[in-house]
Amino acid sequence: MKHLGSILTAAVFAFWGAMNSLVFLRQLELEGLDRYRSGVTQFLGTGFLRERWMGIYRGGRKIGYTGYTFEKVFALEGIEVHSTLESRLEIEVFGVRQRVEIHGTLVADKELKPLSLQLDAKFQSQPAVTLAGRRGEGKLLVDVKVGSSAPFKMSLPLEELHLGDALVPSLPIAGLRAGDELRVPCFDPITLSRSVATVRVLRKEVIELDGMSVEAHYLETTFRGIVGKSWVNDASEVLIQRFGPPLGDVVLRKERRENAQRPFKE
Amino acid sequence: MTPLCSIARMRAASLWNRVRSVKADSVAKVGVVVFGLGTVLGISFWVSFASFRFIEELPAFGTALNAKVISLLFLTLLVLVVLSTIIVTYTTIFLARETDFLFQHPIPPRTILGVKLAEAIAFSSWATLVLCLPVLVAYGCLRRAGTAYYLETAAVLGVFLLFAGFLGTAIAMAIAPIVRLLSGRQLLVASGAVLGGLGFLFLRSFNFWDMDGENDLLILDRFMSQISTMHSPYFPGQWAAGAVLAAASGSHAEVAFQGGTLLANTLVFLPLFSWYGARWYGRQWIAVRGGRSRGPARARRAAGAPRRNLRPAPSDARARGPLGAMVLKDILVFVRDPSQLSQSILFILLMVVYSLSLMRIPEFPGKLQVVIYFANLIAVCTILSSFTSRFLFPLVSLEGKAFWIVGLAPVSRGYLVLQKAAFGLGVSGTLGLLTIIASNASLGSPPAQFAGAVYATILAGVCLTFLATGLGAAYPVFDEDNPARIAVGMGGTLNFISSALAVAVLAGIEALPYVLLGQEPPLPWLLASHAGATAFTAGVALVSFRLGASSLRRRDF
Repeated sequence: MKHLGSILTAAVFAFWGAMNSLVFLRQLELEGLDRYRSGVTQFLGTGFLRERWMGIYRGGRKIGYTGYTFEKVFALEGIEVHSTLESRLEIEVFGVRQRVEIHGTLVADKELKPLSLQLDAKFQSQPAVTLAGRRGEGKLLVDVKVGSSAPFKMSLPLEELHLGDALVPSLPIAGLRAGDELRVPCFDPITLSRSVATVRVLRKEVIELDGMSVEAHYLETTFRGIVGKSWVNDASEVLIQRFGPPLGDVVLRKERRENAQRPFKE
Repeated sequence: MTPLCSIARMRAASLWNRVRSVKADSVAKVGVVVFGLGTVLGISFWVSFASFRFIEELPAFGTALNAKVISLLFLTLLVLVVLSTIIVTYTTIFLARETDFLFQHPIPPRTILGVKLAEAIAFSSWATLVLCLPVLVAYGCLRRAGTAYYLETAAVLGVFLLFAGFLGTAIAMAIAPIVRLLSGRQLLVASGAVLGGLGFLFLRSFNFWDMDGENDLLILDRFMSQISTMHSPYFPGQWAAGAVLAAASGSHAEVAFQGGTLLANTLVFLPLFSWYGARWYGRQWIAVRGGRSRGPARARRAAGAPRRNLRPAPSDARARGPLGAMVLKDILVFVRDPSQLSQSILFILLMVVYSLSLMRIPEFPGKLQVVIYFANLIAVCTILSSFTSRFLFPLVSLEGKAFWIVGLAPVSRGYLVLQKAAFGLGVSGTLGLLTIIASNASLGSPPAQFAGAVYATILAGVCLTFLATGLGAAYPVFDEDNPARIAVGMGGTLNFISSALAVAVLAGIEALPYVLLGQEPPLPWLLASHAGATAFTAGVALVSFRLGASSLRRRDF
């Protein structure tokens, strides 16, 4: 009882030191990460779950949507980042409207290197491609089944990987600054291969969106020879994305999940 | 029994006596206050929820902007509570009469400091707690958060207010040796310079002057993005905002981390205050009570030397008349009280900032222009009602135990109430008129509306001043010398709620022709609404005056 005051004082200072050290170490760790991992960490923020939904338009007509859910999960094996993709698109092939659907999940470790990959692509509601990948032998080993043909195996290097949505990818990164340049490998579900997306943050611009002025970062992303122009706000929400040829008339616009999915998923 | 237990028992006994002395009219008063507070909380929740929902629906940046609004809320709270606590703590721990009383007893200075700090922080932050909880509840409803969110948010807000209170206290303790060396005028200039400098840096930080007026939401977004302090991981407001946002998304581990960091930085003040209380508080209290400025003139006066250039004593009071003499006394008492003076400066600065902010507002077409016009009128009247509640309501109470002196003056008690109202009207009327003229000039209101706003503000000034002085005389607290505590007592709360209702009714009467007949009502309708507002003001002023005068007349001193 005599030393209670001293013990409490020591406990308060110890608590204060511990918590502030943790804050400092967390910040130090964030600053020590490479640009992509730091951007993803800031993108996930304190909520650990973020969604990004966009409507796909061609010539003013809605032809589909694409959406991601990014989630930080505290698994038994350590921190994991789950990226779940849902994309539906109607394209015209020889004047006939065809529907393409892609569902996929990429589970990455805290270094954003893939642990597993699951992807299902459907064409006219019929299974077209199924991918199932897991980590092994220092690579990501992927079993691929395309239509009715015999399954085959492929491998991807164990490196930071983003799951693409068949268009020019929009990376889940925050803390953008003019002059930033990032090169991130992306898995393309159409060609079933990896390619590097190069993202350059050019400047901040004020754009008009739904009759409202918005300040956004202007980004140019080059992927497989196609250039995507994106306008991304401070919260790392992609507001508009436009493409160069051959997707010149396609525009992606930020929408709420329910609006983006309408009328394709009702 | 320890001194702390003795003080706690004294407080409990005082509270019990108050409860026992609740009479029939006081029960009605309690009912009105509870009902009024409930209404204020309900309105606060509804307005917050509607605003959050409106922002959320902005397609480009709604969700992100709402998160920034939460961060901005904590930044603003930190600034306001720290400023408020600096003033309340300084007056409570160094200048209050009860502190003198406690020092006359064998109570360790550390215990006195602890008791007075608890009171000061509770008084300076309870209103913030009550008004901010509905805002955060509204955010939780918008995010459809679970029950845990509300518990976590209440805890985070409580710890945050405690942190802000402790920080304000630490600053008050640090500046006490400097403040006691300054004269009133020097203190005025220094605090004005500090607040002006901070305000300039604040406005400059988001490039306010370079924006064109049409992009108001862009200004808001850029404003919040560019306050780098707000997003720093080492900023306490960010810990609180991070915890609330994490609670809304169900990340309890992050709530624990951010909330724990906030709690750790709050608790660390306790051993520091304990050390200060044991080592320095007694000495500082004696130094502050012992004397202020040590200028040569004061030193001569302290030594009993006659003043040079001594002007005749204000025996010309007779020439001024009783009204002039008593108004002069009130002005001198007001200027000599550092807490009143500093808070009134803060208030005037807020009014200037409000008027300045309207200079960048874009022109709104049609019906929206009328909505903005009335929103501005209500905002100015609400500022006025805060002013009258904080500064005019305590006027009679501040006479304190010396009330018998003014009671012996050869004037009726009703005249005293009238004199306080005249003094208050001079100040509140001037401030209200300047603000309404500046704000309507910024808004570019049409001449008829401009004139209507000026007239409505005059009426609001009269109505609110008589309400505050009348209710202040009807429910005085003569044993309290801290005006902030008088203003937040039961009578003060009653006045605050009555003032808010009066503003709502006045604005409602003025708006009636616009509601019924569109944005350009005929002149006779406008004149009729002004006449109705005048009748309402006269009625409120008369009833309040009679209530205050008759209550004072019945009192013995």
